[in-house]
Amino acid sequence: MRAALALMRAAFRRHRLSAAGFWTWSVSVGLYQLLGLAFVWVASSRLSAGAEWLAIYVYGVFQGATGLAYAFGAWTVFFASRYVRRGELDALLLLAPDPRVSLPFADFEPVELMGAFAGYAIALIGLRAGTRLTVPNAALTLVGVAAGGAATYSLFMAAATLSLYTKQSSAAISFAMDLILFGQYPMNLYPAPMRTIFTWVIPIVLIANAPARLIDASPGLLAAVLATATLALAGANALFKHALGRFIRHW
Amino acid sequence: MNGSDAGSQVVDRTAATRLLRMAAILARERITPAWDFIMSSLGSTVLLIAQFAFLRGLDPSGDTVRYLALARTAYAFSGGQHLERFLIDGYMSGSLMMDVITPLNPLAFIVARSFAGMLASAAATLPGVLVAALLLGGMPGMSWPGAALYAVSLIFVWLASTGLALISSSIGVALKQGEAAVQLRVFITQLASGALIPVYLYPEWVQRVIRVLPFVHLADTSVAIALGGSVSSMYAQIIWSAALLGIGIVLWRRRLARLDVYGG
Repeated sequence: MRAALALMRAAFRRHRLSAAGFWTWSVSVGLYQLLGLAFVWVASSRLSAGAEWLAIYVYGVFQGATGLAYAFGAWTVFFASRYVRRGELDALLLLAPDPRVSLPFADFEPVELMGAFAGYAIALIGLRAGTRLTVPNAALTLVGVAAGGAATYSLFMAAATLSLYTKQSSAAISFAMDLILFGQYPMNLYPAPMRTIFTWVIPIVLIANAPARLIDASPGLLAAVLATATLALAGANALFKHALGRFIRHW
Repeated sequence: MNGSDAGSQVVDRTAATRLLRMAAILARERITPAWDFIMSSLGSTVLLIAQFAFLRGLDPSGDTVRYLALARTAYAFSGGQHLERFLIDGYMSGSLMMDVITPLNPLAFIVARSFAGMLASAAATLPGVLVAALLLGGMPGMSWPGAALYAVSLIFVWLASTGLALISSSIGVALKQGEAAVQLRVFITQLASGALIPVYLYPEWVQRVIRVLPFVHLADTSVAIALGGSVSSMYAQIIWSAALLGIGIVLWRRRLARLDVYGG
């Protein structure tokens, strides 16, 4: 744990931004989030009265969850195939800390974490638009963002595991990044076949739609969402450990 | 026709052929490695399907999806951020010097690059629009004259966006805020063109503002033409594209002259 925290501190130091860099980053991230928010807000409020708060809320939870997953999962998303291709993973495996702990902290991305905060703020705007902004709902939203982040991170981990098997392809990770985009809109608006696929085949519903339902749900759903997120994380980690073992045996 | 006229025509034709070849090489450079290009096209297809499915759920009539299918196609002909990034990075790093000293007119070289960007952007976007529209019942029905006028209007979309790219990259270089200029241009053009949100969905007062701005000619005007508009709808698009291109060329001519004299 001490090693993980030290790695995280180093990541923060590495990402210290200049004033100009911060301005450029703010413009890029802020405008991107604003574009998505404008699309969701205008389309839902003008086309279906009363649908806007949920659309904004789901979009916010999605941005928060994926921001969180990118912050800690940058290595799986951007670097996993490079680590394997260049042989850098071999060197990392020689280090003392477990790579499942050291990699997320070593490649921590503070900028993505700011994107997650922006997503949380958008979700609160959605709650406000639906006159549901209360302290318990704000806290439940935070839990939802964390659970969605864990589900997304697990999906990235599973995709990165394929990089260990195929040795060089980053296609699985790119596809996983694209696929999760289906989770940013309320699933009830999708046609029935798509809803079925994204609920039971590739459970993208876990990224934002299920966590977004926590505010109106019974404690049973809260327990179910948290248990699913934990299971997803444990499963993806086990898969990765298995792939790592196979990778080491083929050294 | 005297001898010198014939000679200059031959030179012009050779230069045009050379520029087209250059555009083809640059376009090929953008779509290789093929696997990366396919994956990025797949990414934009997935995003389009998600957005179209969301809109279809909100508007079961399918009008919004049909509008966006045409608007996205038109916007794809603007060529993305390729030209701006090339100009800003080239100016900042000094690599644009190579273009200034080539025997070809550097502005013609910039136009070839813009054309290549447009080809690559259209190739990456069109399959996605087609798949998403087919999947979600948003294939727009067009008359033959409407389709022909729409195709012509896409040329002006490209010219107008080339002008905009020249203007925004010139501002970005002047302020030494290249990335911010690109992002701001993308933000404004996406919101105010109709490529992301159909213009008719905005509140009345926003529509009135948007319709007097030039950005609306990057998508919304072309959609109106395709869905039964007349040639007269294209006049404003033609005038704006000429104006934007003119301003952009003047700004970059000055930049290039400066690069020639001071080396950036």
